Amino acid sequence: MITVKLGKRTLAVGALLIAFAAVMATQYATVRAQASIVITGKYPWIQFMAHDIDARDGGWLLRRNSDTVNYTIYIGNLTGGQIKIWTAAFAIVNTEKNYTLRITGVRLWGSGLGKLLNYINVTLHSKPDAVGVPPAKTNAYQPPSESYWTTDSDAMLYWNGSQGAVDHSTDGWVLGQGNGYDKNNGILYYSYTNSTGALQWAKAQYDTTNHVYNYTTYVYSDESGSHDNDAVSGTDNFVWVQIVIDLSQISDVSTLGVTLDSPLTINMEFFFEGTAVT
Amino acid sequence: MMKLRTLFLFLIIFFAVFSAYEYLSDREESTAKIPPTSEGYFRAFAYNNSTDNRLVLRANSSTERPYLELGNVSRGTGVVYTAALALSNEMKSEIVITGVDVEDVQWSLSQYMQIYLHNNSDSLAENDNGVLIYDRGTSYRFNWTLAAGDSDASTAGTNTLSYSNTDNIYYSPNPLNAANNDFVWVEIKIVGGNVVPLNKDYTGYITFYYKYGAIKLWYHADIVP
Repeated sequence: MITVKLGKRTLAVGALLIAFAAVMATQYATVRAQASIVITGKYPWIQFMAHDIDARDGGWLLRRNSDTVNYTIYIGNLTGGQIKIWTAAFAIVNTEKNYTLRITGVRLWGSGLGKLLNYINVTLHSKPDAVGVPPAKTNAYQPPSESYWTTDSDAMLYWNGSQGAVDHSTDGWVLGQGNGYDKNNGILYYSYTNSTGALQWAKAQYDTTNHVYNYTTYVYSDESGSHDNDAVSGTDNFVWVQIVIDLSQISDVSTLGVTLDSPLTINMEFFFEGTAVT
Repeated sequence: MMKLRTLFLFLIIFFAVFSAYEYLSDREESTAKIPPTSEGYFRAFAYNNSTDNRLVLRANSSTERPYLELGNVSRGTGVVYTAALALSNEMKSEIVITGVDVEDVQWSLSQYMQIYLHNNSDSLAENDNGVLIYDRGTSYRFNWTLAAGDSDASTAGTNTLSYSNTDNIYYSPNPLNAANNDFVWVEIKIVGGNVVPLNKDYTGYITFYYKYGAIKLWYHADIVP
């Protein structure tokens, strides 16, 4: 029992180096000489990958200003009576070769957001070009109509509007083992399951304009099964993140309690738990 | 010495476990903007006037959801608004409109309503290669592609729109052709006849769906002799 726990947390330490390396180095470098730490903005063990397009300029929705700063996505402009769904705002990619990662939760927060977070939903799902529809549960958000959209039932709800974060500490989406990077050629590997059930590796290229990896292989699961390369929990090393803003019941946006026509910043934080693959 | 090593190891494990729970996470940042009613990335603008000589599509203030005032509709003849509204894409990528729903709230106007998409604001959709997307209670699935927009709410394609301070909405002051453009005209027809009940305040919602999102508009009409 103890061994299992230590195994999980060994990876946890590794992953936290991204955010915590400086502190760890200060505290322990003189204690354990064999410690090796790499600080990187481009090759972390948990990576993001772009798919959807930014409405303002047609570039990637997921982007950042340099290789070393946090990513941003622009999800407005939105107004009362509207729903906007980013079916694949970005993917979360596990690049660790010897660990699987369970995504246990997400947290959204920010200042000056009024009631806005009550109308946002975050879902992890398989197919980037389809609307992720989580299983119907009491008080769980579902998109209002399925008849006019291609839908994806292989989906898990992580942020449930006014209900807030959904706990997935035991049943969260599991990212399969990763395959690292080809740093010489600026390639991130992400896996998919082909039509025969075999795991294959696709290559995400690094966009130096938006400082983000973007998908290259068309990761879509079509109904014919000829290219069944969606993100499957526990197998593929990535998952698509869907963001929904549903203001369809808002008749007057001034009731949201936000500053209108002004950029609002929402912070989004995902939590993981790793398991060593033996 | 052994005890000291054990202590160091314990400390490392302690901080590792503590840190894992606290910091094993990865962060994103999103920005959103809630603009005035008429400036969403997928939005509607006006053209036809209603029976009160104001725009059919209107809003009570710049922050309220737009609605469709279909006016006083003669039971005998019904009414046709060839361009009750336009659906307009302001995103810099194509979008595909895929469906429409009509939901009655008071009385049942949907049983007498037809909705078309078409190109020319002044033409009857039936004579303009229009696509019938809703016919008296039945919705039809379809794909109508809008070209990439320009993020500018004051334009439709290369045409300049005007803003009504009375109706709090952008509108086209001139006839427009929407062919291969970033907007499409919506014709709304109330089919008249003696079977239409004479009631005031028919209300409900018309929701247009696209890949991926929706816009939901309230409607109002009175059926008069």
